[in-house]
Amino acid sequence: MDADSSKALAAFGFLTILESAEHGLFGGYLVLSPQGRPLEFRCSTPVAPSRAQEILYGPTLRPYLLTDVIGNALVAGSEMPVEVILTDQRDMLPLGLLRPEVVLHLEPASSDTLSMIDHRSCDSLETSLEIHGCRIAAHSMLPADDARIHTLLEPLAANIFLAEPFERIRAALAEAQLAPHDSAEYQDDRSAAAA
Amino acid sequence: MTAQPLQHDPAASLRKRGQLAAAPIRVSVYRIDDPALQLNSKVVSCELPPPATISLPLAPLRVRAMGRLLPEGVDRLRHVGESLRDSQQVSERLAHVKSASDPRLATCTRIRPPRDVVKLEDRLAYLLQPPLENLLAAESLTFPFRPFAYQLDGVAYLYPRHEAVLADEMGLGKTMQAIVAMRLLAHQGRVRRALLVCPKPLVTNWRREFAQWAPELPVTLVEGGQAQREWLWSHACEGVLLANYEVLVRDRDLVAAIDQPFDLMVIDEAQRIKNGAGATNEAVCAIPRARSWALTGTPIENSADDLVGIFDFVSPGRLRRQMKTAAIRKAVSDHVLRRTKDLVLTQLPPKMYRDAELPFTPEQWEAYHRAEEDGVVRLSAMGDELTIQHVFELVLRLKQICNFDPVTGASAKFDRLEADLEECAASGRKAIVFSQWVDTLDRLRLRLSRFSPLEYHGRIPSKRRDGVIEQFRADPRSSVLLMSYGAGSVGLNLQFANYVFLFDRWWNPAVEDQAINRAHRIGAAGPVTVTRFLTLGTIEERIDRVLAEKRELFNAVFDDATAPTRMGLSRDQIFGLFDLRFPEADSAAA
Repeated sequence: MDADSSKALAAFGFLTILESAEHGLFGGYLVLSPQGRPLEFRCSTPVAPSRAQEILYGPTLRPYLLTDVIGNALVAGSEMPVEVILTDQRDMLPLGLLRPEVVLHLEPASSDTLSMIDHRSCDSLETSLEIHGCRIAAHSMLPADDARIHTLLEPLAANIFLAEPFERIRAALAEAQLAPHDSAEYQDDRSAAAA
Repeated sequence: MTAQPLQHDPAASLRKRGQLAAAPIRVSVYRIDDPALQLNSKVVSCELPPPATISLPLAPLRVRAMGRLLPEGVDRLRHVGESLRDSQQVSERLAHVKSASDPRLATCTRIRPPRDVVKLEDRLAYLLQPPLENLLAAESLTFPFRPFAYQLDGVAYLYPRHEAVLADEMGLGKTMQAIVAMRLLAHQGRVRRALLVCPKPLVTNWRREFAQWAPELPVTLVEGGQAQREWLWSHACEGVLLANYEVLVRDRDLVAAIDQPFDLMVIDEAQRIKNGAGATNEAVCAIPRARSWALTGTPIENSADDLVGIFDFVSPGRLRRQMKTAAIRKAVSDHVLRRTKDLVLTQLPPKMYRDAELPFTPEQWEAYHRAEEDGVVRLSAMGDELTIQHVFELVLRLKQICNFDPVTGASAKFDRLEADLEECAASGRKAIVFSQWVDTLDRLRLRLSRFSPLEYHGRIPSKRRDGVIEQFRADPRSSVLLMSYGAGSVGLNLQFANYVFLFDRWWNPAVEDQAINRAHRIGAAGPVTVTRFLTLGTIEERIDRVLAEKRELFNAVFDDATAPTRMGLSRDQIFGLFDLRFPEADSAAA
């Protein structure tokens, strides 16, 4: 398969969470084609740490939940291979330490609150680069060169606004929350989960 | 050295003094005698009990992941192992898509699942789709100009729906929204064969709009002799069939018998099927189809039953006659999309109303009162023979006198209109004058000849009508167009006119709005001034009050206003125009 065709068959993972005051954290993972069309969607049951866990895990709790508990479970269960996973949750970046895929943090460059953060001062973030109005950053322990990130993301960035799929995931998670629990699960997923 | 325990418990005394906790502490006292070290002393040894332990109940932090490959994902995985040829095709498509899209135009028009899609899997399939802008770009669909955001919302509304009424106010581009949604579905292979039904005068307009917004879609006009039409109904398997209502009624048996249902059927000016018992409604509803979309700016013209007629086509059984307004509102809320210009077109030039409330000329005054007194006396004398038709005849007679005195031709309205048109013509503006009677328009044509007025009404042959509109648009000398409500109130784009005159009033406000919105629509170059003529102290004033009540009904179903208790122009209200009462016997039978 030549370079063009492999680009055409590339897939891109998007990983985020939805925080519910009532239930805790829901995770959602969406795999897109370069045209931005959905190829696979996975979501997690909610997880809500107890007070004791909050005390014991301290500041490591959120990265642990997002990375080890939610992110890893979602990506590990996915059938569609991807080379790069984008997340809008900074605490999910350490997933790159657990997974072979490149994990990158993404935020709209115009975001008022986020644009004030100096990425160089964040321990977990490597200096970011900007692609089509989105700022991309890698984990400081897993630096990726700008050229490679550009190569990885350009096929998708040419077609969609890179921050947009997170809205889809959150809308789908919100919809799944409204559904009766039984209908939120597909039959074949239950057996997979049990295994 | 020897050590001997003593019979003494120092801990007990400590406990007594409260200096030790209640936990048992084992204390031993030894005497140590060691002559070599010259020791002779007591040693106290304390053994603490093992500390109490607490187990914190920590549930494991685990989640269960669920989900699946979506259809395109399954295809994609299949592609990975396939030949280079297939991969190359995908690659070529990708390159094509790239050139069609600018992702930085981050307008996101979301496609939301209809409420009647209940299965979570199906709902997620909609929610996970890219925004409409990306779908359009992915299919390389280009447009003559960028649609307004609310128009994309309308497309995103129609696109996933099998049952929908697009009820935007006139002039917001329902035609274009329906065509774009149809085009997207066609490109995705979901619609191969569609039927579009519209009033005959609008066929040309639809063809033009298709050429503009979906030039690659083949549009076939159903026309010609019966054999030709029969062939078209049975053999046109791809693209859009365009038919007018009259043809559809004539060919209803042919169309109802087609083998393959239409993937999509769209009816324009859907109020044409509001009468559930009518032949048009029957013919339209009998056509087999998968998707049913209705377009109308006036889903309710007279009563809520109008909407029931439209829903006979869109979603049979959803509405029933005599349903209460609140129940109707709830039942149709997800099936009707209604936007008004005030809501979405903040950039549209303003529409200004002027009510020209005029006193009669002496001749009209005399003629009117004589006709009314005689008429009411005659109606009263009819007793049980009185029918609604008799009352209507009197209403029409009086309304005609409000326009012109039948003997002398005197007209307060004309005097005012003439003065206004002088001003219009002098400023180079164009004006449309509406009346419900062609005879009135004829009189106006003769008396306004110095303005070279054009005519567009039922007596103008269909073939000539497009030419009339074109001349009105292009000829600077033609500044006045005389139109009947019947022929000119729907589907025409006359946004180059700045003045609209309603010489007399129609029976329901929806038709008046349609007429006004021929000029006040997208593309209007400036403010549109609407002058509503009304003769003081006459039947016109009484009808005007009823029209206001009808507007209230409309708002109760589609807007957030409180539902009114009155339902428009009832039979009793018509009789009430003359303080008459409907005969009891007939009333009971009715």
